[in-house]
Amino acid sequence: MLESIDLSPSLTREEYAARKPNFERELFDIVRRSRQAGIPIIVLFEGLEGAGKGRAIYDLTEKVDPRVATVYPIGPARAYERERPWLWRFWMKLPGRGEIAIFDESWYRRLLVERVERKVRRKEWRAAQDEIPHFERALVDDGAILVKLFLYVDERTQKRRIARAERRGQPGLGPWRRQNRKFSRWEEAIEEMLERTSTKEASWSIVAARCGRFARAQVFETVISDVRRALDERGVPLLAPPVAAAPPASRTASSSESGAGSVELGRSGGDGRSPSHAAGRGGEGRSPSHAEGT
Amino acid sequence: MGRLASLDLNLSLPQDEYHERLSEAQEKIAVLSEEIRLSKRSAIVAFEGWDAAGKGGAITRLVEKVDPRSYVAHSIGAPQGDDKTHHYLWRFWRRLPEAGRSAIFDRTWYGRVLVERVDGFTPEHAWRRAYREINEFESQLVRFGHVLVKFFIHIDRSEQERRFHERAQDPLTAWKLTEEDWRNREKWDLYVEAIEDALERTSTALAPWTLVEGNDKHFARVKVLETVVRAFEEAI
Repeated sequence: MLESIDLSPSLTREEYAARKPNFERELFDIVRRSRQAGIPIIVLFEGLEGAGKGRAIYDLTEKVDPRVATVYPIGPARAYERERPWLWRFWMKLPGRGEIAIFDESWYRRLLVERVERKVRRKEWRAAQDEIPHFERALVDDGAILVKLFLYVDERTQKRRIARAERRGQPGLGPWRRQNRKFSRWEEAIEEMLERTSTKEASWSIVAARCGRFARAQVFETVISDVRRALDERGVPLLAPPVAAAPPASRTASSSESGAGSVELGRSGGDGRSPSHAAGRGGEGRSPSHAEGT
Repeated sequence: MGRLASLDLNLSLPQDEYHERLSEAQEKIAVLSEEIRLSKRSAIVAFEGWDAAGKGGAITRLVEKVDPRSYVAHSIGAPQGDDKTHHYLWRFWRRLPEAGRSAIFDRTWYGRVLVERVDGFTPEHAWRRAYREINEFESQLVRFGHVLVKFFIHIDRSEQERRFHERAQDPLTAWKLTEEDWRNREKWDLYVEAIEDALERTSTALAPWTLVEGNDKHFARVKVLETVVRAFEEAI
């Protein structure tokens, strides 16, 4: 099934640069809605080495309030994490209502690297093929929105990227090379994973990642449309665009019609419910990453 | 006849037999829990039961001779703060002990299908699917290697009333009796229904329930401890 993925689509730098601000605005909007409605969002990234997961996560979260979204890089379980049932370390990272958790690799490690590199016994990853859907179902039934992204590149592209990374002197390429050598075993594991763990409420989206910019645009589009669809299905209302509060009449030299005297700065007029959320359109606010206006 | 109704609540133990069997069980538990600890495993002992059924008393006797560093006891009530803004099972996953340490739960994840069902805190479709979610949760614990023991301590309605009045008289225990306890009594039959459903749907081969005839405190405590001894012996 993986071989039928069309890896040819691409985007130029200009095309991506033109679309990105729109993506960021739409993302801001759905984040605001889910925050307001108290809905947890989980976005998990899996993919082949060199497919561009890291960059995709970076772009996705660049303009998102870091107090609302947390990125969890997942690697091998630490000693204290091995002292509890294997899903424990993921339960600990689950977002509460209105929060967002982004996983750079996830519980799917069990079906991917831990299976292929034989870090766990067959019995264990076979059990995970049931435990994972049960886990995800419990979260989604409880109201969470779960988006699952798999970034795919073909063997040749991966090989080229490894070579390029080597020329740049990038460290830590061992896992990349190992994966490239065992590419067909990886594809076997990935196919089975997609088959066994794609459910209606928690379906996988495969992102064609030969072109990094195309992949990043796909990631934005998928997250935005999946979350928006889920919010609409749950009847979460659309929000009016946030409006910045006007300064109090006494401060301005030429005060025309600035409403009633006591308007507090920093509170948005539209939805005054989240004081910690910066008022203003498209990111005018307090946190440094929101420095650009619309 | 329901499981609760088929219990013989007249079961009791004479004083000296109680002390003898209790001590013996406590000593065995001290030894066995140390073995469990050294093998880097954990025991999880979960208590449910009516208000004033004797959960606290059983827990106290259970751990009396056990090294206090080797376990932690959690009292579970209405969730607050982060516990409230996460999935209902999150606060129990959070409280799972590290390998070699054990955990006792005074009230448990079963709150979802008991108080939350009876008091309407949780909609029906949510507590209906909780039986399966709980079974999946418990099977993960057991397959990981935890020794899981579940107790429901049962008393009858008039015994509960007697104990409530007793608590009210004694200044040392009067604080334990709340408005809520009296209100819950009025929903006794609803609770029986909820309990029977829970027992039926969540007594699995991996994690069976042990029902404890709790009208006689001595009988109840000995039954709890001796059940724990057997469970630990089987696990090792």
